[in-house]
Amino acid sequence: EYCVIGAGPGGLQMAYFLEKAARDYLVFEKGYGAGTFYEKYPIHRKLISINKVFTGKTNKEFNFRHDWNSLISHDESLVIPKYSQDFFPPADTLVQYLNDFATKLNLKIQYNSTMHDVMKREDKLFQMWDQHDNVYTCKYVIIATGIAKPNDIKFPGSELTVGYEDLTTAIEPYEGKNVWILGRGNSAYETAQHILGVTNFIAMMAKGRNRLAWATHYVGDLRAVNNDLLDNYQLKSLDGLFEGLLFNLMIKKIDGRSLGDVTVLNLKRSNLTGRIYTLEPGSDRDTIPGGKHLKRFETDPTRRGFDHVIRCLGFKFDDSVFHPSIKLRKSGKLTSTGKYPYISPMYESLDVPHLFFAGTNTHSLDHRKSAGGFIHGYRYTVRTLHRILEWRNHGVQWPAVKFNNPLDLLPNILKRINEASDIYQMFSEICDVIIYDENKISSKYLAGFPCSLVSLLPVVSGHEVKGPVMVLVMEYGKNFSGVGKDVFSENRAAGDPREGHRASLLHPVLYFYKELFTPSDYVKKHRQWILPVPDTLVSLIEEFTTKFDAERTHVLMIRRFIEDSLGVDTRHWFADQCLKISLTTSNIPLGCQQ
Amino acid sequence: MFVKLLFAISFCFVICDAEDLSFPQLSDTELNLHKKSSIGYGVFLRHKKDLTEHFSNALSSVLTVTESLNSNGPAVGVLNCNESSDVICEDKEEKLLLFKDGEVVNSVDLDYISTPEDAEFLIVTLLNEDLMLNVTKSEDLHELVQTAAKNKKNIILAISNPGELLHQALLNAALESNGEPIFAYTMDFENPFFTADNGRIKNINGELWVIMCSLAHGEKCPYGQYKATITSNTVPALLRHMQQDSFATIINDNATLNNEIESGLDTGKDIVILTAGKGKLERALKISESLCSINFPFSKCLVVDGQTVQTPVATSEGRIYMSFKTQPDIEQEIMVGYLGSESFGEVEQHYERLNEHRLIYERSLKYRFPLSEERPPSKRKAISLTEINETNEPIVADDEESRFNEPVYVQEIQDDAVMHAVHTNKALKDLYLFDFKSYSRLTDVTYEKVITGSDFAVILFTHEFNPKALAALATFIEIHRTYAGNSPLHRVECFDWPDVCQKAEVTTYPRMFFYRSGNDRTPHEYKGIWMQSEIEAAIRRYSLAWPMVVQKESDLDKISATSEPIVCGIAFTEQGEKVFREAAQVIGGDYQVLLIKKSAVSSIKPMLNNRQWDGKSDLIAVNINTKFLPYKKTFSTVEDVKQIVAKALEKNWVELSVINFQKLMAAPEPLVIQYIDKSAVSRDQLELRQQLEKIANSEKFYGKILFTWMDSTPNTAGNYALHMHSGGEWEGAPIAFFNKKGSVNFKSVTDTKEDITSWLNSCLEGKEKISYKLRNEEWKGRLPGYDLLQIMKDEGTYPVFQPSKVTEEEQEKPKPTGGRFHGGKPTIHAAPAVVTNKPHTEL
Repeated sequence: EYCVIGAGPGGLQMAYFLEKAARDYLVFEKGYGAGTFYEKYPIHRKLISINKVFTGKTNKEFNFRHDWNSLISHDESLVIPKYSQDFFPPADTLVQYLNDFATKLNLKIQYNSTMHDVMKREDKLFQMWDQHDNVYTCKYVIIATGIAKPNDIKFPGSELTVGYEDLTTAIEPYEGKNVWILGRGNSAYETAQHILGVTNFIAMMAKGRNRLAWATHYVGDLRAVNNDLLDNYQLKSLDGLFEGLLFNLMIKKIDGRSLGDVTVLNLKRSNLTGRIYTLEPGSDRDTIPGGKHLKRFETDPTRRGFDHVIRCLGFKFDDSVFHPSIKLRKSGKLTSTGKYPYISPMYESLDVPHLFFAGTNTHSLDHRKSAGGFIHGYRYTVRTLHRILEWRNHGVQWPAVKFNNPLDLLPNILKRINEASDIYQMFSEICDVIIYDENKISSKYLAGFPCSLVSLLPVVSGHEVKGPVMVLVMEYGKNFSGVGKDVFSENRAAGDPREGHRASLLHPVLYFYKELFTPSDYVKKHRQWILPVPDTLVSLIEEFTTKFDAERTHVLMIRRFIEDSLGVDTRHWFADQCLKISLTTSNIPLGCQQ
Repeated sequence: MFVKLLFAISFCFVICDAEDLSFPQLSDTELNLHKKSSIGYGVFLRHKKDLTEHFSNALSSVLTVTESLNSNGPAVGVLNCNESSDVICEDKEEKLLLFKDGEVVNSVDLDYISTPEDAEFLIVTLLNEDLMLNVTKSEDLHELVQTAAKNKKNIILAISNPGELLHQALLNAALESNGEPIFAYTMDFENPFFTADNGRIKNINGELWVIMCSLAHGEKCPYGQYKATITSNTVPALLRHMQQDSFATIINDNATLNNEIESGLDTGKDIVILTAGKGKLERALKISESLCSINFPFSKCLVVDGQTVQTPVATSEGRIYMSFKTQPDIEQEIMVGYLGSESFGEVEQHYERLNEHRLIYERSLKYRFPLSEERPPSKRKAISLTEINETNEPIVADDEESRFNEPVYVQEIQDDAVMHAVHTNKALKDLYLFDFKSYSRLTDVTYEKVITGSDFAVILFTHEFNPKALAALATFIEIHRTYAGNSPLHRVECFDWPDVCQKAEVTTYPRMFFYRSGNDRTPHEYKGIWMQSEIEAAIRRYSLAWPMVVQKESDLDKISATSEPIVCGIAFTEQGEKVFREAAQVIGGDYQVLLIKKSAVSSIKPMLNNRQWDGKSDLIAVNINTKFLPYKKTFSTVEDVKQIVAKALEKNWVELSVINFQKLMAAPEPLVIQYIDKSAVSRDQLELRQQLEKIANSEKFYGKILFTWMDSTPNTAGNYALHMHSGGEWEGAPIAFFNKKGSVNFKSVTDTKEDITSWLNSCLEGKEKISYKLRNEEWKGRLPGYDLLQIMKDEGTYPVFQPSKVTEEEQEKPKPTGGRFHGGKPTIHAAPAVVTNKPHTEL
């Protein structure tokens, strides 16, 4: 029924849920084992996803907030802290872990199967072949091949460069050399970090500004673990950054060194006004197209020439697995060359029905917003996909816990706020949804629901919505994250519950809607709002260790919010007080009805 | 004490010649006349011809004060017993006899009169001792209170000994008081009237209680404890306050309000302000009167007419708002907290809780200023929300309207009594969160061991975000401590081990499960009330075998005594034993179950009624308080056994209590509630009880009425209900018909010979006049949280901050002035009130 292509973390995670739900599935993996991508990458063999072994908590769900490498399973031995104590574990550990995951959980994986020509037949079934031309047919295909194809941008002289994918961990070739790194993602910084101690200097070029993960709160941006180069740059120790466009780049090898240039043709487009790069004196300028328009810039950072030019330009989705009859658009503005496939919020291709994606290739939905491109994020989006499929294909409702009254519900909200990993890692993307009955008293609690699908709640979850809806979201302040933001400002954190809306660091926000908003409302929402403006809202002020348990600042605020929103009394009473109330009042408060 | 006092006074050795004294030498006729004086008369008995030294000394002392004594009333004379034939001279000792209304009220050894002060003190005290009623036992006090309530006279009751300064000060006040209020004292006091007051009394001697019978409801008078030091000078002020402060002052303008607050705080009182919305002034007054009398004399009540006075709280029509301003023991601060708005009915409950000290109202340090010398007291003249703010910034906004319409700092007001009780109980929180040694906390591993083991185990699932779970733990631990060391009680904290709780499908808290010893590890959930006695009984039942088998007579000795019912199955046939064993598995959670084998039947035979049993059939017998209720039955099914047990345990006359009220309330039949004051059961109450019990056990109202009684001892739920149902007025034996349709018929049964049946019929038919209508207000949000959307709109940050604006605003934000900061301006909460919460975990 389900063909999953790829036994990386995304594919394994999907397989786990399918296995647990006893679905008919098979995972195809071209490698001889699981997670072979990680046998090579990252090249310098250290993961930058954190592995916080000690949190002071026994709560496994809470600890998952600080374990960015493990997949979800019921097997407690299958967590990375059981494999490595390193805060940034070795990549080989992950490979071992993924293979253990596949083996211990008896996942159905067919290794050494390089699938090709995935196509959709007229009878709506998918058909594909392996390298031995064995044919496989399935109802649903889930592509979990990751983003594994190196971005290879061609420009004059690009043959003089070496790609990240071809690097080795040897540092000797770089000793006493000038190194030019193209790109400014973590692979570029990882490379710089690795060789920085032996080079003469490293120059790093990319088109945009440097993005620090701590400012953008996007873990795909530059992490502190890789930022020694920035230190050197700002403290003026030879290494540095500059901005330039790759597709205007021309390099030429003269006297054993490569020289770079950027033409003036794209100055406007590149938004690099006033920043001109030139060749080293003695180069053959006339041979360079547009060279005659160049005005030599005496302090061009490339003018000294480089011994090595390394391309660290990232990866993109590889669609070579599909038959030419399947044409997939890419997400973003460049629909033909974009990094990710073009998919719906239900992780389904917008070009081919029943073709789903799982893992990092779904990151277009939360690119630069949340963690869906990384294991600690997509382990939850994969679960979300599975739950969507369970209802859609098998009539299994989204898991929900029923609460008879708001007094029992409130502790659960607090529990989720304080321990849940899904809404925490996938902040602003995955929410908890509370569906109240018409009486506004009893409710169903749906954990880990995609925020973007709340307006389609009944369709996606299988749960009817007859009463109000409350949505719990973990989010950063609306104007807090971004390149150049001063995230260390002394007023970065609100201290008073009345300033909840000013909370900046990750904090819970509860949205209350008297009626479920429509997809149209969702589309029209302000782009910086996670959801449409609700009828009422409470935003808790941030908490230093994200334990939102202060009796009044946090708990009381939520209780009042629930009381106000629902119009019910949620206080607890002692038994003798209830006895008194029962004898003198017709309307017995909920706290006495239990 | 009296003797000790006088011994401490040195004797005066001034020798006086009695013949020179100007005391009248009394003839018998004069004596008879004077001793009938209603204000008192002192007679020196002289036996010896020559004056002895101490006689002269005493006479001299009395002489010195004679003018003042005369002006105050008592006169003094000398009776020469050598000449008199009056019977009092049969006493051959020279002494001073004090007469009043023809009776000797006291006799004083002349040795005790050594100085004029002694003389005055003794004579005044002893002659006027009846002005201070001596209460020697609780019955006396009840009688006194009843009389005072009837006459609407207040009582000042001192816990003191004659001769003490407090006593003397009050006596002097009594002399001047013209009978209002009644003064009383007691020396050795152990009266539930006081000790029931939540343990407030520690060192009772020297205390003064004010019983405000001028505000009596029926026979009950509100009372308060006077805490200030009493001297002769302060008593008049006390009396004055008694007249004034026990009644609320109505405030119609802001200036008066501020002045009243200031003067009240200056005298160390708490200020209780009731702001009445339209149509609620009269009711606010009544409530205020009641509240202040209860808290007299350390509370001052102000009723503010919300329609004429601008107050910091909104005054909606039909609403009463309550706020407190108090000057706590911490002298550096004046704290102000707002209860905010409450629905009308809830105000009374709030008061009631306040009186019980269950809810300590939180106070915001935001509203404070030090009472240090740096800040002159004059500042306090203008106490208002804005001016007592340290920074003198408007608290909410410059816009007066918005400030008045929005409750401020709602996070400071905890109105959940259970939440407050557990969160301010440090010992409990420590136990809950940090104690990993005193009791068993299960982990994922140990949980598995326990539930898959074979030992009896009790597992409590808690969650730190649920106040009820914290409260339940207190009870749980108490029980745990009763085990010498092998406690079967364990706890799983679901925040620490969510996977364990998920596995056990626990999503609400607290929940408790029993795992019986043996191989059958089916968890049995506890469904009762979270009260120690109930939980203990359940643990006991689940820990026993189902059934316990009695093979021989000596086996019975192993069964410990219990007040709980025991279901005995006496099995003569194999089939009977089989069925009973099956039944035991069903009813074992509710009752202790014994299977008495044939071989042991003789041991209980004497206890059975042989007329109901042929001695050889299978039998179910239910033992209640050692009395067997046998039911001869050749039961064939488990259902038979269940029905037999249910029938045996059916009660027609039950106490309505926290344990069973939900069940009784849920039943369709109306309730009859007899209120019985267990601390002072009257004959009327007893007789009515007998009559009701008889009716309840008859078939007359079977299926139509549930007959119950409630303890109405002061400070109980029953007392509260009685007060509400009766409107505060009842006599004899009170009884209520609670029809479960929203109203109550109340009756004071003064003639217990009256047949109550006709009244019950009349109530059932709806013909009786309704005495009390149950409150039926819809719940309204009392303390709305912050409307952040509106705040954003008001401050221009809706829908999001504009980048430039943020910078400006950030710059404008106050900078932290000290302490550790994560960032921003921290909220400083008032320190939790230092109170030891009474264990109160029945939920």
